[in-house]
Amino acid sequence: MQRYIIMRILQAILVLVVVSVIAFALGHAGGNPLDAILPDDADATVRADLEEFWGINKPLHEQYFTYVWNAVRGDFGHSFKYPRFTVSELIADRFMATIQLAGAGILVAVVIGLPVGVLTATYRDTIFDWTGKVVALLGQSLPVFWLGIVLMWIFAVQLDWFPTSGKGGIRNLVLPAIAIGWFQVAAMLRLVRSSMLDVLDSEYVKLARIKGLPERKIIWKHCLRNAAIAPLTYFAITLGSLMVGSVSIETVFQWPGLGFLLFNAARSSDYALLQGIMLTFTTIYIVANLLVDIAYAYLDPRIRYT
Amino acid sequence: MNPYRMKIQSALMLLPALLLLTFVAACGGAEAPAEQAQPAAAQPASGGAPAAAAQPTAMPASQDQPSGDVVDESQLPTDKIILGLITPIDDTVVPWLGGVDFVYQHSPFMEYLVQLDPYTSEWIPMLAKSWEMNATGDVWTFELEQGIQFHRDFGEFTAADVEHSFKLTCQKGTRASYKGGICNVDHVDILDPYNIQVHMVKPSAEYLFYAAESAGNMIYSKAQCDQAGGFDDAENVASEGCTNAYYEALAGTGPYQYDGREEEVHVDYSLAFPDGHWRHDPVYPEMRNTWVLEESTRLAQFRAEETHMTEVNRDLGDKLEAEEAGKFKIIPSNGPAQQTAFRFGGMFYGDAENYDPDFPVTAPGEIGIKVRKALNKAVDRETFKEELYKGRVWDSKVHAFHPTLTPWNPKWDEDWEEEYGYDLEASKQLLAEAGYPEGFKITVPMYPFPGAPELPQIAQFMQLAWAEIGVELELRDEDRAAVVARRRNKSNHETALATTPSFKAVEAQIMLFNTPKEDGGVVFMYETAELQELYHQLQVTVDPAEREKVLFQIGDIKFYHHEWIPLFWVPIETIVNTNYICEWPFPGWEGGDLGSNELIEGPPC
Repeated sequence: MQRYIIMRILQAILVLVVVSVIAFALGHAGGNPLDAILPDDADATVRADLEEFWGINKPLHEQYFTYVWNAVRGDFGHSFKYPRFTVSELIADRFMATIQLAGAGILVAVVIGLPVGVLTATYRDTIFDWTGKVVALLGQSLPVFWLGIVLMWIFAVQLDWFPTSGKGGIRNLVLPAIAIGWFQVAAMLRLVRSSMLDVLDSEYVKLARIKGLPERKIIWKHCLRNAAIAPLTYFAITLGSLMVGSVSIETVFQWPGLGFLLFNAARSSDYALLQGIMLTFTTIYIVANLLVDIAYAYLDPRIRYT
Repeated sequence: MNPYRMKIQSALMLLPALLLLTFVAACGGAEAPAEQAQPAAAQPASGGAPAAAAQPTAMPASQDQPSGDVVDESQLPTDKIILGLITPIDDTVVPWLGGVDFVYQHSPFMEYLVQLDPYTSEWIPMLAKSWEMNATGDVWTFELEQGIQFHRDFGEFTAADVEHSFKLTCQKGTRASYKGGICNVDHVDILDPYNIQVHMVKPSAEYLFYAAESAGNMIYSKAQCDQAGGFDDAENVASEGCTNAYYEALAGTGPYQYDGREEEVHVDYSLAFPDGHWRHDPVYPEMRNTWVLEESTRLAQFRAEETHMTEVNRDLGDKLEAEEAGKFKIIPSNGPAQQTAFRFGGMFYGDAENYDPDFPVTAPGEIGIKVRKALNKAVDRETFKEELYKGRVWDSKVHAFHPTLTPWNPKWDEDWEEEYGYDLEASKQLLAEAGYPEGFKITVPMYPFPGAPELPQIAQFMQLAWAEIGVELELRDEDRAAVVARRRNKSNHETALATTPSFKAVEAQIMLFNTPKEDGGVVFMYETAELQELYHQLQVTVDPAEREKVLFQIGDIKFYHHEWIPLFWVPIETIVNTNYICEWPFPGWEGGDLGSNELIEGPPC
């Protein structure tokens, strides 16, 4: 077990290193950020001063190693776009907004995906099952930004139930949470349905029915409890996906989180900020996966590193 | 069947019906009436009509500004007017850390020595009552307004604040736009608290452009900086305390005061002088600029009345205006904001090291001119004007020259049809004469550019137009920084680019587009030794008649050499909700793009 965990951690570090190289290369592929942020008539001394300040006058490999050395100490450097702030400060400032949105997205996925998944399995091959399949199909095929705009148009503009955008009270959270969570509703629904179908065919469920237990108790207590293991482990990955997938929804809904920050950094060729956010997203995703793997290893003694 | 199952079944059967009802309720009544009303925006007249040129020499004494009408605040639908604007590239409250692109967020609360008349786009007094240029154009004298107070009790505005503002904008590491013009200041003599003399390094006949919102050269409170650490003259840099103080609560002298911001989201303002501002009292006691890049979100905010004005494309603007007669209204800027065009790379005729004579467009002498004339004559501008701009633009004929801005040569109007008029046969003939009857290929880098959403459409239009004469355009997606880097390095040969230079002082435009680096050039659009020489002459020529002569010579080269594909002068268009905004005169110039916020008129309309 210990060996398995150590190996998984080493693999995670390797992935982080690879991603740091990719983030660094992509960031520099867009050219010198000063070409994007300096006015056309900026003179050479200003340019030279800024290149010195941000270290972009050094050879690329030197820039990379300096960047990695600073990054492991939590220092991603200064933002080009927001020169008053460090990248770490900006990420810390926006992190909670993204967590809030991702958390709300998970809630939407669970509140809708779980019961509908149970019902579609229970009423297999009925109109409910087909409706559930259509919901799952739409959920996994509709682009989230399109869904966000449609939700905004119907529920904010036409019905005036929620604000269109921005961060504020709980009402501001509803539409972006549904938009970002909708894909996960579909995923959750399919996962729960498939697990439930397995459980519903098991011997102990048949025995429970023979014993005359109420159907509600059989489904929601005995079956769901056993079928929920796979969806529960899926939560961690979902949280990572929701955070990483927040770019388009945060931009559409003007939600001031990491995705919105990433979008604006890309717009301004602020590669210090871009690299910082990419590494943060990657770390979140890798840690989430690592936790799931470790949890599996504890839950299932057959899983070992070979 | 068990009863529990039946309940669930009934509930689920209702779900699709509920969803359908919701959708019908949401979409019902939202359709536009079949007939589209003619937009109320003023139709720009055909460009090119010569008008009296505004000469930036000695100016009259201070004009009285109209004061705001007395408005019963209880009639206002809200205390806070909210403008839904496109997110600027730079979003900082401290202007020397960004370009002029974002300066309109300062319009509500900062003031300048001079301003653009929101109705005529001419220079009128602001913090300077009057001004005068000496005979050699290297000393400007400004008489300042008296009794103007800074926000937050930072005292009275005086000549010391003007001198301090020059220092801030020109300090070490500044990223301010137009530094070459703004910082062409040798020293400032404070004659008394209300009179200053600005001594230029070299003559500057168009200095007013650099002393106004058009260049973002705003006036800061010296007292605010001094209280927080001051300006370090030895290092030529504002102290950290001073910079931070401006970041937190930049004080100006405008009708509103700055209340704070959330980066990339919004900026808030409130009435600074409840007892009356010296120029004009705004109708609304509070104001917010919201930044939204996504057009669909801006539209949703506007339709939900979360914002009271926004910027959308012309089709959407027309649809909104037609949809609810009287509720939504298009308000265009009173003057042009941008000049749209298509320009070429590689025309460095004055730079032998980088010049490439082998490409048809950049070929030397008559051959290159014929090719560019052929390309110009293959463009059906009238169709383009109607299709893309709904006809709501002015014709543009010479880069940087505009009848209200510069002396205008009537010959350019007379020769327009012969030189630039749409004629495919003549175009093919010209290409054949130049030696390219089969055409050639040009690469067009494409990248998103905030504030100019039509650039890709311009490139696509050119692609179709030039296909008719055998010239192939290859559109290639690229990162803007890479394109800018190639332009800076003069390695953008065999390329063309849709472009939208802003409306600005002609000398500044010529410097940026037609001179080499040592003269301040950055675009290197059409660079010849003759143009460089004429630019040097222009810099030292302040006599209006002589200046006109030099400008005509420059204009003739630009016009008859077909340096680019001129298209249109384009105003900014906003759409407003008339429940909140009846009128809003604004000039449309760079820097003054969406300014004059204090002139927003509220209901009753």
